[in-house]
Amino acid sequence: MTQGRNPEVTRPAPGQSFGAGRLARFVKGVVWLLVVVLVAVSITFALSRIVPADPARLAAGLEAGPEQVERVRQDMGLDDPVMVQYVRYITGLVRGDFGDSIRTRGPILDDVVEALPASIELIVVSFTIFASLGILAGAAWAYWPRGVHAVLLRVVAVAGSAVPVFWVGLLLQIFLAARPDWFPLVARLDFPVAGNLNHQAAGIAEVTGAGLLDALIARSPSAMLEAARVLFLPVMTIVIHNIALTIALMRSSLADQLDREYVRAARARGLSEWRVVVVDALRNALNPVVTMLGLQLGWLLGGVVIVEVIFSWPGIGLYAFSSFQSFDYNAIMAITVLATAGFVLVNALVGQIYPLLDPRIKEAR
Amino acid sequence: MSVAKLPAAPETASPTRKAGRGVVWWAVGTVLVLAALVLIPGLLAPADPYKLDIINRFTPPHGGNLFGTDDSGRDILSRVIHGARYSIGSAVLIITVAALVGTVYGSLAAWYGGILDRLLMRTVDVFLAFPYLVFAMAVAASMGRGLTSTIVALSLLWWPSYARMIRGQVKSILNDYHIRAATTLGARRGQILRWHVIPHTYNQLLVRFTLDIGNALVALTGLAFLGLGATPPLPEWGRMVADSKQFALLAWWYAVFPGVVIFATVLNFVLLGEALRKRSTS
Amino acid sequence: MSLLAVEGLTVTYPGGQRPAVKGVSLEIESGRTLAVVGESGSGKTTLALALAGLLDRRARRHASRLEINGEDLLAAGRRRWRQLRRTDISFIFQSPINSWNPTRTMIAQVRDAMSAAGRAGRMPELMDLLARVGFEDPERRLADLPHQLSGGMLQRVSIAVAVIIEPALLIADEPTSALDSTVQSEILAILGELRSEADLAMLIISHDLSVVARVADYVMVLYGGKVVEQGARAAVLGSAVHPYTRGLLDSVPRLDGDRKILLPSMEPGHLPASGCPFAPRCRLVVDECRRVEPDLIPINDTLAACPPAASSALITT
Repeated sequence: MTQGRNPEVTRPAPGQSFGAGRLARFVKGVVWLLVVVLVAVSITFALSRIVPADPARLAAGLEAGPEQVERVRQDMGLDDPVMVQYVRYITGLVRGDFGDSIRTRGPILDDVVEALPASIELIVVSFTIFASLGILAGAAWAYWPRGVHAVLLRVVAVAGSAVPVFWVGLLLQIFLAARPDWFPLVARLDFPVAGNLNHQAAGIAEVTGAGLLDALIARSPSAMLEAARVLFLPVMTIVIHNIALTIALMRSSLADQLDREYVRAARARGLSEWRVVVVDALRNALNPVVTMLGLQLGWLLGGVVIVEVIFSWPGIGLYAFSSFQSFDYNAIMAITVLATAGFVLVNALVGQIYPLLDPRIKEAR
Repeated sequence: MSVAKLPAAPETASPTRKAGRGVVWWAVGTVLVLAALVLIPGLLAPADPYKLDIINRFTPPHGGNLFGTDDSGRDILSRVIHGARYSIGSAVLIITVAALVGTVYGSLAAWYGGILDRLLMRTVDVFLAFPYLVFAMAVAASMGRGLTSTIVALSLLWWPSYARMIRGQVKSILNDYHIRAATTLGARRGQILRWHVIPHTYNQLLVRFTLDIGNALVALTGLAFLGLGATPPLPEWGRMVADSKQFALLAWWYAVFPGVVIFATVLNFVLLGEALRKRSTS
Repeated sequence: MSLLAVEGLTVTYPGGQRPAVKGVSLEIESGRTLAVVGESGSGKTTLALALAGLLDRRARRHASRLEINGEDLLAAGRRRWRQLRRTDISFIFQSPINSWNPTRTMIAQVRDAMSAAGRAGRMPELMDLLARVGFEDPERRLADLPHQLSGGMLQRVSIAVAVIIEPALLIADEPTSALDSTVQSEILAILGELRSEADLAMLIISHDLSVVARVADYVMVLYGGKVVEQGARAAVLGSAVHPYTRGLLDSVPRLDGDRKILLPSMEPGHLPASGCPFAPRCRLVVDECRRVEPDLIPINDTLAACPPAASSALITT
């Protein structure tokens, strides 16, 4: 579904219902999602059973004696046969039970629900910015291929794709936040500043957990400004890295369309440049860009880990990282499952956009 | 009345640019420099990368320590040079494994076709649907930390894209006329695959390989930054940036220089890959 | 007065060693058709694009005269050219399937073209015209995407859209070469009929002498961006003197099997840096040809750029 798409060229039959086909495709998509998640779970589960560290030991704590560790092991079901544990885990997943976190000792699902809004805010804001800016910049570059802006965009496109995210984040911190003190640093041990918007300090209620949205709900301009300020550096870090690919692909895609004969033919019919470039060429050029953006959005679901760690952004990525640090397998497996499912879902949704951009394509699967 | 059609001739092509040779030298130079860094770092580095010198910790860049020193007074330049073995070496290893496995897997799928092909490619689809960073974290957490588990995790995630690329290429080559001719002339299947199909995939494979070493380096150092990868005191590049984080305000050079080296290396591979692509398509 | 008048038109692309079109002069009166003949790379498409203001932005155009309907267009900007294409100049492209955006329905694109030309209200007329040129059931079929229609059908739409604006000049670049031969003659018949009704000037470009023979009043032969021979249709097809034109005519397969000299081995990509562009392939070539670019001179009934032919013409005819 994400890749290997076979664009099926068909005659649209106006008025004819596609209900049955759509249902079949939906069912296929769900089955696919389940298969991918199951494989991901199985691999991580299998690997976690050949681990050097002992989860029971970790869960019991450092001061626990051998008997206590043994009791914890029994409580966690770790002395059952591996297959039993595997089946128990899968049936738990089916019931929506991701197990308890070894680290926070609460249900993992609760932790995830609490961390999710901050991540979604970060991802949505970053994605909106780099997708729209990237498309505009790439289109401008394709239409006006020469000039200072073209040189500049080439540098952004090449450098942005080669620069490591964690390093960008660190540099932004050092040179924008720490020195001139323009933007808030993060809640690390040595810097007592909150990562996400501090709702209490901003004097607004925590409704969704996403700072911008909460400030909007509270109709507090000062809180919105503060929320934007804390978002700025992490968002910029994600944008710098991800905009490069969007710009480059949009440029090559639109340049390719502008070279097509139909563009010249449309000009020959006297159509305005706006119509030729935007209505005809740009729409066609968006197709591969949308594919790539879908993959990038899916990638961001996991890719925010680094950015959230650098800026101590209290989202799902930071939660995953903390779980990893304390060898909290249950949490890590839960996040793997959720991120994989999210990735597959995002790409399935992107698949729904193609027929809008290119009516020749009817989603095959 | 005589009536004739002229034979259609190809449009006069613009003179092809002779960028080819420069790219070859560039690639050779890259390989030589990296080989030197990986094989004989001891001869190139000005100092011992592990030697502690607490008195001279956090020395800013100067003549004796071009990149300055870190929190233990170690020479950052020497550590970067020695780190090439772990960073670039691992990246090359990951991509080599991925390319080998992917080539065999993809060729098999394309060669046998049918049910086997569909089954194999569906498996590839499953692997491509994993979010790589989270998955790598899960694998690394499960297997324990260390460079080995990171290499395993990334190889496991990387081979499917090669399998897909090679399968597509082999499929299209198998449909070519010269393969049909060879088959008609009675060449054996193994011969055809070895002499007529695989060589035609080299060009694209090389381009992809070059670009992916850069990508693998980004992924690898990113994971190392999160603490998945080389363990101290190994001077792995991503690890160095991670270590520099808590001293970022104290010693900017500690964060800047290892990062610059990662950036420059990745940039080199990206640009080289693009140049190779242009060369192979022109 | 001629509707289209061009003198000394030269077009150069960046990186090209020779101009794609060099020093071309031509005139067409209303109601007349000029056919431009030449092989691929002879510059004929560039010539056609230049006359509609459709050249690539990178291309350099020079001319000492460029007039349509008496209006001097040497300094005309993009806006003026677009206005001309909306009302006075129509263009038909070689490949019907590539002339339409593959992802939008035909009706949407036809509407775009009609409203650009300020004739959005004349859709019913267009439907009638389409039906007349053999496009059946236009209301329904135009709802299709381009790839759902055949090449012949698409070219009928192109022609109808080109003609409905009642242009003064119709430029057709190989309008039939992408089509099957039966469809070719239908399209040619339609073009001929509409042309004679509308009293417009037509420039048709082709490498196919059978097309030329059917529709042209005048013929111009291009080689390497230069005009090598021109004249009335009967003169050029009947008693051409330039060795290239003769080569074209003589390489026609005949039913009586009496085949004359074919053009000597053709490598059209290699044009000499100086002198007559045809010299490397010419059977009449003399040293002079390699040094001096020949001008058009009257020989027999045509104008031909070949001094050696002038002397041999006396012998052969």
